[in-house]
Amino acid sequence: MQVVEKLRRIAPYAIIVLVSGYLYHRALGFDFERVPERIGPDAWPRIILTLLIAICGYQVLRLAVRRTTSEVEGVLQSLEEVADPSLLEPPQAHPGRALLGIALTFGYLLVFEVVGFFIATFVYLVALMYVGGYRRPLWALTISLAASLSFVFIFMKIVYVSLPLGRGPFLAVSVGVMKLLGIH
Amino acid sequence: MDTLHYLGIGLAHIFTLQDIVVLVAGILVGMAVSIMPGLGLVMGVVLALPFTYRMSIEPSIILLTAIYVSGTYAGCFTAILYGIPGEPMDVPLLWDGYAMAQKGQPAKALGWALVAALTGGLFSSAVMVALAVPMSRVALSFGPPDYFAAVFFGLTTVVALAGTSLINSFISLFIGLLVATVGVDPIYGAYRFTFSSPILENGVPYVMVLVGMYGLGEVFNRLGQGLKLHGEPKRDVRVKTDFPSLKELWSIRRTLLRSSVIGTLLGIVPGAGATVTSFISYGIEKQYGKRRHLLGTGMPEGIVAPQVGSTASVAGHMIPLLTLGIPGSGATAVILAAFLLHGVQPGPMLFTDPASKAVVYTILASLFVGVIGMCLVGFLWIRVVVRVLRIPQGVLSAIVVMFCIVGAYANRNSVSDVWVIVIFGVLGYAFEKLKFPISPMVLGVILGPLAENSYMQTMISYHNDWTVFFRERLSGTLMVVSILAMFFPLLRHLLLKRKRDHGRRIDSQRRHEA
Repeated sequence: MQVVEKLRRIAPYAIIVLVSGYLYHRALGFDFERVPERIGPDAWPRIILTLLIAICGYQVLRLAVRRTTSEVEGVLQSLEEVADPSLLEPPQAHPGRALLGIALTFGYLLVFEVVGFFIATFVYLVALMYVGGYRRPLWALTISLAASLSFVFIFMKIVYVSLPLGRGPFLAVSVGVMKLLGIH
Repeated sequence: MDTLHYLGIGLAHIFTLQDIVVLVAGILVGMAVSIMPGLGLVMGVVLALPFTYRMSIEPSIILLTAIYVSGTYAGCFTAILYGIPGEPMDVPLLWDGYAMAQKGQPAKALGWALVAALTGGLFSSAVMVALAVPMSRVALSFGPPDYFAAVFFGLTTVVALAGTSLINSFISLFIGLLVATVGVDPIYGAYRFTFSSPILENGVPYVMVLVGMYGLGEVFNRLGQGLKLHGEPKRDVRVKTDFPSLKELWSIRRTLLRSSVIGTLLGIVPGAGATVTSFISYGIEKQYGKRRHLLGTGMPEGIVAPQVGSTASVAGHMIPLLTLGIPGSGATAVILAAFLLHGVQPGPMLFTDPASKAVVYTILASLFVGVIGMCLVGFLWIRVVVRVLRIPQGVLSAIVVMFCIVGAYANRNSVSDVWVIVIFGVLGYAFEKLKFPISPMVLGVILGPLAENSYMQTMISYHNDWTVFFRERLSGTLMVVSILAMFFPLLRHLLLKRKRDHGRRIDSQRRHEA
């Protein structure tokens, strides 16, 4: 169990070391015309990557070797210690909701251009409110509809942003909404 | 005299219809977002950015600075009345503000907070106006090594201040600096980490990183926390403000002055935002205040110190932004973005041209008017503003996400920008879960290009001699201070550890003897 916990703590740092190593390798292959005795565009990223690999490598070793891992804290932390931790950072009691929210957002982006802004936003808002624990379906539908219409009106009519209208039958719905709101 | 002349011009500009409307709108938005837990002033400024695309430079910056300044004040209402801190900066207000309200004096507690915000805001705005021209003259003499050292100072202080782990803060900063290198390099034109993707050729706009990490990331994080308020807003609380008497004000004059100076000075330091200044001002009051032993029982000093500190930090932050073009916080970074969107580069040159000088002084004047305006709104309309707490959290989060998405899309009418914010939103959530502080990464993305450009220019001009950063007087001083700031947490940790070990040794010795 301890080994699993140790690996769980090491994993993020190990992943950063691996990704940084790969990026360092990419940085060595940047395509540019080298000027003698002058540092190139790879110098700065390589400095950062070296520091990143060094600090993460150190942390991996430290977590792997040492039993207790007391951290050096930022100055603000010592000031915040006097406050109730739940006020500053409440615990993650519902990680599933966060993951569902992320999945919904990715889904929204995938269909955004196909079904158009209005329909995608309406469905996404209803779903996100449900995930956020709002359990009044009629109100959720009404608020989502009003919010979607308001976003279309504000951004298309006032801020002049051309939001996606969708394709096929969805295009007809978006155009209908635009007509309803007096957007030409 | 010249300063007062331009300030007069600025004040005259502020009272034009357009500027005054955006100022009031900014104050109301800033108050609303700072009252709601999980929103916050940075998110308020970020969400307002798309609305500035069609505005001219002056109202754009006035809108954003009004949100910024009023965002440091309104959180006091929910903290004092309901024990709900809108933002971490309001937490110190619970200790004495909420305690005073519980003792049956909520109106008095609100009065102290109002006086504190007014004093801190006006004091730091006056300091900012006085320092702007001298600072811009100093900034004009800055060479690339000095610029690099100034940026290095900002980056190291944010690392030293933030987070539960210094190592994680460094990692966060390096990731931010790395993100800033993506795209075409400005000196050689080389493609860096673009992976043949046209989206990445222009780099990662730091505003998208801000929207993603502070906006979406925070919503995902709060979804994971269950979107619960720390307390429930009571309906029977009287929202009224009672001003302290002149005699009472005189009795806390030292607290007012001390916290105003601390707030303004710390505000100038990049990375030390309103939360830091609020906690430090309270901490210093607890250490040096006349009635320090009574703090935490509902004392006016415990309300005044953090409130003055947080409001005074705003004008402090504006100084490096306007005179050096270096933003020291998330909110000032968004304001910088608004400047750049309008084709204006903040920095010492702004103070050389009369036309741009008038714009700058209008922005400076808007801070004075904004501070007075937010106190007036706080006094007259706060009953209405605190009602935002009644909006269900699930509904509010959904609307915030939409503002983030549409705001990102509106920047270039591009879905790829929306993908960028969602990716950074997920990264922001991962950072919160893994206890990596977000602010070093964000500041790394913002200051990264400036750091790299000044580093490259120095290396090219001084034939790769890095010792120049330590040899020049200004850059050398800043570099030494930065290194000290960087190692201060480590030194503090070692000293505390030694003290603890020593205590344990004595304890075990005593037990052994017994």
